[in-house]
Amino acid sequence: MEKPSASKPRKLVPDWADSGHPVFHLEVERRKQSRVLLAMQQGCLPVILACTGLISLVLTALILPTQLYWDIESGFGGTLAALFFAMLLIQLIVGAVAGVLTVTQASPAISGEVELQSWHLLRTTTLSLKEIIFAKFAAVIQQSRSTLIGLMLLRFASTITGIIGTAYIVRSIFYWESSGWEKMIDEWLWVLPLITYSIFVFWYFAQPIIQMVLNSSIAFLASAASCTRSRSVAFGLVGRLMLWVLSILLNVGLIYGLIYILIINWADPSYAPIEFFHDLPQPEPEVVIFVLTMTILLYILAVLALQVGSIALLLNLTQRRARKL
Amino acid sequence: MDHESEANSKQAKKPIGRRWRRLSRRRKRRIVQIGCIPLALVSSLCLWLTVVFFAEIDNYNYGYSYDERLRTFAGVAIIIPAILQLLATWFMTWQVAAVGARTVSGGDQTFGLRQRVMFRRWIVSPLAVFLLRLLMLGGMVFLVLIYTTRIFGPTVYVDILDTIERSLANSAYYPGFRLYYVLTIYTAVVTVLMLLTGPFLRARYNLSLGSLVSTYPRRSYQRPWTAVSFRLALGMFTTLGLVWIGSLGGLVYLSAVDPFYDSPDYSSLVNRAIPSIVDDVFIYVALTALLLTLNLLGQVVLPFIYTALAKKRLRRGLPKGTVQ
Repeated sequence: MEKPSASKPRKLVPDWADSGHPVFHLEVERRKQSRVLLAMQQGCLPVILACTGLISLVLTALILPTQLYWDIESGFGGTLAALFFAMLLIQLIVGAVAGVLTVTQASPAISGEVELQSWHLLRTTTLSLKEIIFAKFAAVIQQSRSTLIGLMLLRFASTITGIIGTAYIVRSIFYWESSGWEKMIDEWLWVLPLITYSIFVFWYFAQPIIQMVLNSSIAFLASAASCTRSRSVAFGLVGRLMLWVLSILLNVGLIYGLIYILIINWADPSYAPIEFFHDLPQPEPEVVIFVLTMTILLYILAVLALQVGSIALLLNLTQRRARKL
Repeated sequence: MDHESEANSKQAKKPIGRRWRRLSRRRKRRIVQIGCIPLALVSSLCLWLTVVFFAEIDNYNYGYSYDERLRTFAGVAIIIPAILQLLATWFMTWQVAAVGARTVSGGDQTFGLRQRVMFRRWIVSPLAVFLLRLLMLGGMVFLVLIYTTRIFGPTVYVDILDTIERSLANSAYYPGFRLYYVLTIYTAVVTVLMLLTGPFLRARYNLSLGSLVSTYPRRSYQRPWTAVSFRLALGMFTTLGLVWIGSLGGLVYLSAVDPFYDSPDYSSLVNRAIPSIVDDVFIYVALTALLLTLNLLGQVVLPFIYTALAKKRLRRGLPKGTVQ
């Protein structure tokens, strides 16, 4: 007699991302045949760790002893700041390389099948279209695991460094005005900034995963939209590049606009460059803190929602396009 | 006969590139390994000679006995091997960790034997680091001789040695100053011990760590990558961890001693709690002694633990689904 299904342990990994799934297995094994690709996939993590480790060691050895000689604050604060910016720079370079690698690896996933005329054969199986696409998608992510782990470790290290660095900044802010600290505690003004900071840390930490999934989604749409592998790689890379440029322009424009309106004009109406704000009353410091924190919080949530929404939209479009192939 | 001699002469005239290509991968690897020692020595000698002949000599009169040329020689004799040995140690660290991955493929039966063979085969890298450290030690001895004796001309002013000497002299006025002497001598002994035994202990440590880590991946080609990655991650997080712990300690110390600008100054209270004879130099010396002792102990003890754990894991068999 069979045991009731309720007693079976619930699987965290979906079927299409399991090594037993035929499409997933085929896609993973196909990529292992190329030694160059294998070395590139496996070698990403050691390269990231070696660069970060060496740069951290050199920066710490150069800055910490010399600055610590003057005082603790500048010694550790300076070292933390230097380490944080060095790690940001490494993340930027590695992130760009990882983005290109992911797009080039993911782009031939569907177009390759179409070009080799095995797509229709695959569609004759009992596997649904969604399952085929998601299994291929999971295989690409699994193949980029080494880079993803490297980027996540880098994010973790920079997050901890940034949090301790922020503690030094907060200390230096309240060092000159202890009444501000008491007011923050008494009137519970620290709650909203803390929530915003926590959400920002979460957003920052989750970026490698989101970016990798987003890159793969772009590449999959390019793959479904083209009938040859070379064309899909080209479309994928162009799409990624366009998204980079567009997001940089949009973010810089929005951040500059918000700073200009809220900080330069609204928070200080008597010296505001826009005349409209001259007649407005001077807002209380608590109101300024609340509005600025809320704006940052909403901005982060909007960016997060936009990223997740884009991924869902791109995967949906991929499925719709693949159905017509 | 003529044909034979002609063939021999052709063989002898074969370009090096072709001869190199005909060698097996194993022999090539062996040549590169053995080449570590002459490469380390020749590169340090070349750098040393370059600096000796091309370094600009500062002839400014500082008001005390000062010989820039001797100082340059001695400083260069320490700095160049120090940088080279740091780089060589870093390369050796992950190279030996990757070698550790080769010790597990035979299972627990041949694990100990494979570890010994691998250690002997890769002894060249720690030996090269050892020679560089010996050169550095020689430079340090040279500097101390210049500073303390008149063998190489007038004595030379060296900041750190002068600071240590002044601290030792100051401590003589306070009770318990012998502890400082003991601490300084202990630090010097541990430093020399670390310099000389460090490369071999480090190689053994990395080999056993590489072995332990490589018992985890399912596929054999993943083993060296995993071992190298783990070793590099450990190095990175050790540096960052020290900075994090130090920064948090500094923050706690600052919060206790100097919380706000307009708050009462507690520094005098805290300073009173710490004996006033404690000199900054001795705090550094004590911290260095502590870190070096921990490092030395870790490099001696941890390989035994890692090897035992790796053996235990191998006795249970490699992970399920392992592909050799």
